[in-house]
Amino acid sequence: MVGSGAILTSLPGVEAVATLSRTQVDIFSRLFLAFVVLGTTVGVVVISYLMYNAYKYRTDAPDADGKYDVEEETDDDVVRPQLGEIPTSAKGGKKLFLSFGLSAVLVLGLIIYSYSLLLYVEDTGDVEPDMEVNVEGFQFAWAYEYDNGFETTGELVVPNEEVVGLEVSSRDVMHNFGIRGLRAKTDAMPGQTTETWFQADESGEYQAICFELCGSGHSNMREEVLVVPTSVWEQGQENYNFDNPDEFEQWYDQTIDAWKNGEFDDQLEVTN
Amino acid sequence: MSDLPPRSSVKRWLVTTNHKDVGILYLLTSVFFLVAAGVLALLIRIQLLQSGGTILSGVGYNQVVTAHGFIMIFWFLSPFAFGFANYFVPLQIGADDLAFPRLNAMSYWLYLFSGVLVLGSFFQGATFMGGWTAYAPLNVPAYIPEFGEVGSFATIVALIAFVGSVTIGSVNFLTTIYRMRAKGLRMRDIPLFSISILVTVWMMLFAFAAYLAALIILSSDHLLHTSFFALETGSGPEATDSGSLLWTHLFWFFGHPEVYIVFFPALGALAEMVQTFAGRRLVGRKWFIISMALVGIQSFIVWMHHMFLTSINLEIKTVIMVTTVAISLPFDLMVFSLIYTMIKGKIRWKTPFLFSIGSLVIFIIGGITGVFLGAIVLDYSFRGTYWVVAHFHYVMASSAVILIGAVYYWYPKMTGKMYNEFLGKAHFVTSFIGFNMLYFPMFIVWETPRRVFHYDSGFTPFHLLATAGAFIFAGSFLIMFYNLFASLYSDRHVDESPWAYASSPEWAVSSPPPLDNFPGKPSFASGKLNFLDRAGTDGGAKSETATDGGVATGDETLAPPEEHADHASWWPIMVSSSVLFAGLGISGLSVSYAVWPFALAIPAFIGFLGVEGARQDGFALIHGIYVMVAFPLTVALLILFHLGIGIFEAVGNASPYFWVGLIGSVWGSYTLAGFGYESFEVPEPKMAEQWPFESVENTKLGMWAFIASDIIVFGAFVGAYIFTRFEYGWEAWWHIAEDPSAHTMAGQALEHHPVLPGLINTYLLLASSFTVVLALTAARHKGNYSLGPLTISSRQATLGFLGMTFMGAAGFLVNKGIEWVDLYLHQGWTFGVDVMSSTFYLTTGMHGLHVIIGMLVLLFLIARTYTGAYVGENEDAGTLEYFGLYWHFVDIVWLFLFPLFYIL
Repeated sequence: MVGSGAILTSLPGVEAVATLSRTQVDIFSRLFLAFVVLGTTVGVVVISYLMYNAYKYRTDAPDADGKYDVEEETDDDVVRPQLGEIPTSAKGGKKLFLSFGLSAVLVLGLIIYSYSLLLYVEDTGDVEPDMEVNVEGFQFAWAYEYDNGFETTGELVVPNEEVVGLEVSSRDVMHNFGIRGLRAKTDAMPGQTTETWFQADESGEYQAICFELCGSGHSNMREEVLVVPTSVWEQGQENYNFDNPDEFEQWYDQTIDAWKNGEFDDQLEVTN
Repeated sequence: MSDLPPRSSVKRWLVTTNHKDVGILYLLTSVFFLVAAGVLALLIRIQLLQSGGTILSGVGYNQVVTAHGFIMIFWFLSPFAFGFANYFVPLQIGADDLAFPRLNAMSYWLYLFSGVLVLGSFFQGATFMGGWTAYAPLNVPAYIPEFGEVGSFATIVALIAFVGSVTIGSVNFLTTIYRMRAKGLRMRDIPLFSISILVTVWMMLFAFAAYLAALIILSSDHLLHTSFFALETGSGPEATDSGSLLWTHLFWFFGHPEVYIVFFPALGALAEMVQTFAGRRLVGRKWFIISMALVGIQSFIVWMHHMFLTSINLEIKTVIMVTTVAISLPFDLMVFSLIYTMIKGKIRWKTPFLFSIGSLVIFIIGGITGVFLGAIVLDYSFRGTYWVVAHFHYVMASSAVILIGAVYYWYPKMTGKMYNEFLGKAHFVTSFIGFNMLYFPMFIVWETPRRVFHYDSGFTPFHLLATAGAFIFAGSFLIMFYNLFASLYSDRHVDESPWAYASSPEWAVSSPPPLDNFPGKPSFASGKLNFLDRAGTDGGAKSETATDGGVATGDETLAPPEEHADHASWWPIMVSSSVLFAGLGISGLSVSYAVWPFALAIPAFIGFLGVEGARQDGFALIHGIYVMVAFPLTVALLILFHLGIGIFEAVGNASPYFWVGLIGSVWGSYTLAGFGYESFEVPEPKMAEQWPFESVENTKLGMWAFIASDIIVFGAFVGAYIFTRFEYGWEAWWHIAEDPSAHTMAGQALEHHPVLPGLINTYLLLASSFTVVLALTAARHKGNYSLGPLTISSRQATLGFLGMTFMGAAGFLVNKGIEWVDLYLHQGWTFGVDVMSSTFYLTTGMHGLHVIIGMLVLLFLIARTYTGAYVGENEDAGTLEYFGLYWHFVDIVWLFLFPLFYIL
């Protein structure tokens, strides 16, 4: 289910955002991978170092008489805390700052890298979306309005490999519109409009899920999103005038029927 | 203290104001709420055994999820930490008690009763079901199923009562830590746990104030049907354009600091435990403290990282991303500092250390997964999924794990007995395994949507594992309960300290510590903890008690003689119980009845002022006047009540909530009057380190802290107003009221919104601010004033000026009343008719409420002045001064409100 997409797509700099060579899925997968690898490495190193020190400097002296703990020693070269002292630091400040600086560099590097990807996701530059859909959340479903004027509260049907722009709002409470496999997600708030986009590179069945608690039916607020193969979409455009909402509706209804009858089963790359 | 019963008596626990008793009450109560919220968590895990749920309906699941969050965060984590804070902060800084012991007890009882309210809400139809974030407009009645309206509102009222408890506690701890440290103990020298509490209360003071404003706005939408979040139009509810975003801002401005509020006390305890069990001083202690302070400040400018997918723009997102990443760095430093402290240590793997190291592992995982969320592109996909759930449980529950360790660490100190080490270790092992079995699988199946019981069928094994882990984690606590209970009756007695290398002062006194904490006056003036003899008890003979291994030097001066301190009072529990009843009542009041229980409580308060005053200070004319005035005032209110609703109608038809509310508010009047008049001696700290507040008395510092938090409350109201107005267009705003079709339910347009009443009120308030200063001057004036042939005593002058202040305030309210009657009744511009009226009535109404409270306090001050307090050589006029501070604050607020709501 997790879209792998073209993980190996090269990562151009911010200025190179001319073509949408990367989908949100690509960006997420790559960044997630980078974070998982680095995060796991750092976690393993730090935790191992912690455990190593905690184990190495353990003291196994038995409980002393009348005490539930070891006898205090003060005869080694390390200054130990004493009862009632005014607290001071132990040595080791240099090392502390070294490791702090190291972690800061690491975190900042990761964030600057991810920020360049954010700019890409936020601003697709000169590339206009191939189609726009207005999404309005309501308790407990989604209403779509295509740019040709066609409206539905059923499935969202979009073509594969085209950039779909979404303008999302809500007519009652706050929702969050997310299509999981396509990594498109944005809040649906009454009185506000938010934008996002996606580009599927695998046709198939996806789900539009509500990711913000919105009332009694929240757990069931999920609808199918059908990404039809490019060929199906183009064939539809040949037979129907997609600029006319009524003709588009005919094609939409036919497509949904065909899909439900299993006619696309061998064409869809992603199925639930 | 002779009136404080022994610990075996139940009465002791009801009347105590001693910080150690209150600490134990906090700990036990919060553990009770841990169990309650833990059971809810198990319900969630059972529901998630299979996709689609098992035992709960959609509504039921939402309630369980919501209540689990609320109770764990507010009624378990914070109070659990503050149980330790109550017990150990005074011990660690060398104070006999907190600065305001009675308020401390009241803080506890408010916490307990607010918890009763929130648990009770389950039995009022349904508890709140919109998540602990309570996003608008799902949080208002229009979008809550009818059976859940009362219980939902009860939850909100409970939260308000809880915020009251938190605010009182914050003021108390701030004053204590700044003003009551042992001599020689500079701010930077106090033990880390106490420092972490200091940073925490600073954050609490401001963050909870913003939350209070948000909750009051929400309550007003519930009770008065204002329309901040949704209009209730004829054709059903309609969300306002601004409400949803407004709530997220208000909530997260509080909500993010809250994350650190629950974590910091644990962090402080962790540092102490690592230091003790590693037998080594903390590496980079100074930087550890600076890091904490930095996080405390920065926590207020990162809140929008919870809102990356709302309609905020890229520039703001960028700024917030930077601040968010920056706030993770001080934590890096603190973790490294703890790890380096272990090097060359003498580490004993005792139970508290096991919990420390376990929680560090957990926190490191939680921290790293949090950096994932800081990368906005990843956050977009993580939003509303189990990645978030897993991350914040790893962080927040790590603070619970630390505090469990702290239980084992301090248990011998609090009880004088040692726990069973084997059972302690067994508890750690099972809980650590259970914890990770519970939460780690959530990272793997992070694509599960949050607060949803549907997930991919492929995720089922991981959710099964998590559920199994939840039961192991929960079960591990049974080991702890048994261990701690059984150990109470064991013969494993401990002396001052069972731990080697423990350094903070609480380990220098017996276990458990005596009622007044120290064998002598603690002092660090010699560079080391000493107990000076309390002079005056043995004729001033100088003897010194050295602490373990310490060498006492004999060149310190004697501690001043101890003054008698009171330890017992019935009033804290009584005042708080009135909040329980009033809160229960208010939760079910309809809008037409809403104001009456509280209006009727006002004459009751005046009457009780007379009665209690006569009892405490001896009968004087003023007490008679108060009682006499209370009757006609009650009658007048009853007539108004009859005109508005009809008395006979009400007796027959008012819901039980009305009567409970009435009883609660009248009981509140009585108990507040009693609380005010009770003589409760708490000596000002002497021979204490008080930088930077050497010249400010405890009560004044407390007042300042309270006003600081109140500034944030009004700041949030004004911020909400400005935000809403910008969303509707700054200039277009006035047209909302003029145009019946623009987001309003008014049938007719508002004809005029007069400026004159506001202007007159500005002058009235400014004048009253002046007279309150004159009252204080007169009170401190020696001798009489002669005015031509007249001779006026300073007492008469004080009374006169206080009376003039009262009249100024009364004039303000009358003027406001005329204005409101015109707007509300004659022009039909009701509370909820549009969002503009909502902001106007609520903000100026909250200010009006401050004026009314000020007037009631004035009545108390007038009576006290009349019977001999405040004026003269031997009397302290401080109380008048503190009231003056409050009154100036109320006036200054009006100076902001007047232009904002009348002119601009």
